[in-house]
Amino acid sequence: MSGTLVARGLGKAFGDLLVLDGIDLEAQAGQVLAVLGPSGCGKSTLLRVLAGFEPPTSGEVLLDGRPVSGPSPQRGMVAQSGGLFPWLPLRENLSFGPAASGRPAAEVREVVDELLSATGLDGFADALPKQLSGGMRQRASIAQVLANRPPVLLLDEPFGALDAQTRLRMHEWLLELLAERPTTTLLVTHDVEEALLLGDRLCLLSNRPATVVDTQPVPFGTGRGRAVLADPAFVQMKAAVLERVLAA
Amino acid sequence: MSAALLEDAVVAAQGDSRPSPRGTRWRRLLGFVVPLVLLGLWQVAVEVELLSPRLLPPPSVVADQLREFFFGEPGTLTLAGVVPFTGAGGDHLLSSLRRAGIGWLLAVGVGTLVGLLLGLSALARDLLDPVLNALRAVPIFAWLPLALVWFGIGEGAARALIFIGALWPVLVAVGDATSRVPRSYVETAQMLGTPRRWLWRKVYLPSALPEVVTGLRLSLTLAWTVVIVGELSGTTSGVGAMMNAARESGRTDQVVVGILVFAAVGLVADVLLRLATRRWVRWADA
Repeated sequence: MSGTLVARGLGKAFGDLLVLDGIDLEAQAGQVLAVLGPSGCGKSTLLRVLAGFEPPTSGEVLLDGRPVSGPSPQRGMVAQSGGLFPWLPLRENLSFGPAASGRPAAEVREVVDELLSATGLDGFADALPKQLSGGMRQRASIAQVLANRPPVLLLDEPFGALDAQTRLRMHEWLLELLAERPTTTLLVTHDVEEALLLGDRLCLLSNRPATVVDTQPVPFGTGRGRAVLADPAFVQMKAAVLERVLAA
Repeated sequence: MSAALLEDAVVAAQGDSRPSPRGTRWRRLLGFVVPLVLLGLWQVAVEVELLSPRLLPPPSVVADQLREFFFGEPGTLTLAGVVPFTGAGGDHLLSSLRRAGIGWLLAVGVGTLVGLLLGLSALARDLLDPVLNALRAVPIFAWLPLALVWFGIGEGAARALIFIGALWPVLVAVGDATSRVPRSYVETAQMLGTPRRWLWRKVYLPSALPEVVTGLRLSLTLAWTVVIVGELSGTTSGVGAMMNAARESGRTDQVVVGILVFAAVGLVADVLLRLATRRWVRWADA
């Protein structure tokens, strides 16, 4: 399976401000790497560099061993505010990527229909983004990117603006979605619970300038859901990781 | 679909059925009350001789002339250089509309292209902004003498003036709106695989459309306004030409007919444009 994303010695400075300092990380094919760090540590910048929106000042990004640069459908990114175009009905938002790469219309329709049902938005194909709830918009944003079948999915606090209950539902939905279509996922978040619930591995960043403090596996296995929240081992690990984030 | 997602969907669907804040339909009729009251006051003012009918003829006389203008039996005798009135309304209106339409469409085309250039290229903006802003400050009447010399008295000068008058709102709206398109839209489109050369059509233009439509409306109003300036430049057809002739022969009633025609057509054109573009800007409605 392809889709291994590697950052090697990645550095980024804006003028004199050093934001990323020699980041080394590896998102393994088909797995979810949760990147956790204190607020303002440069998590979003890291993701923007990985997505190709910002060129790195030093180091490189490799996809399956090949250096990549610039934005590309190979690395689908969803920001906290989502990526839907407000002027397009949902169906056209989801078709945007495949249509841009010139896929035949029938195939686009098939892909989009499938994603609409996977996101529970079947009845909303003709709705404008503003007519959807926050949770629906974020699901649609992820579907918009997945329509291109990217080997790598980059998520920047995708559920950060949602209320706690909606967020938990989104977590379970995303786990289900990724189980059906394994996609290398790099999830940036400040929420420890989210990182442990969704991640196969956890990457801890330091305060700015961000460096990788530690990478560790998350031992709760696949197929987890909200039940794991009550698992004492989960609670314990959450507390321990939170301590480390606050100390970072 | 899981129960959680269904619940989510129901919430969103309910959000759609809120009562319109604009109120019930009959409230829209309120807009017709003021003109009717004004019309009544006008008639009364003339009848109690508060207003001399020579300065402002009463609505009844104007209404007669309006009917005369559109439905009167045209005279058989036509003299060169004389602007007909009776029964000539349709022809005058048509030629004014054609003038305004051609000038406006030309302005929309050129304005959109130059506006996009300004909005998308910082270099073009730096090069052209000062010149365009200076030209924009020139009053439309100031172009009249030059337009007459360049295009001759009549049709050419009229179209040129309408074009210049209607150009700026389109150009400025397209330029401003496209230069302020959020970066995130452009990034998302590129990340989804949109080639650079299609960004203007896929992102910049649609994102800018609500503001552009405002520019189009302003521009259409201006085109219609400038028609009369154009028609003062010596055309023998058009509502403006009729008004000019009426002024020369002291027919205030016919001048008022012209004003009413301009007002009505301007209103109708604006409504039609709004209806035609509603589909493009629905997403930006509050």
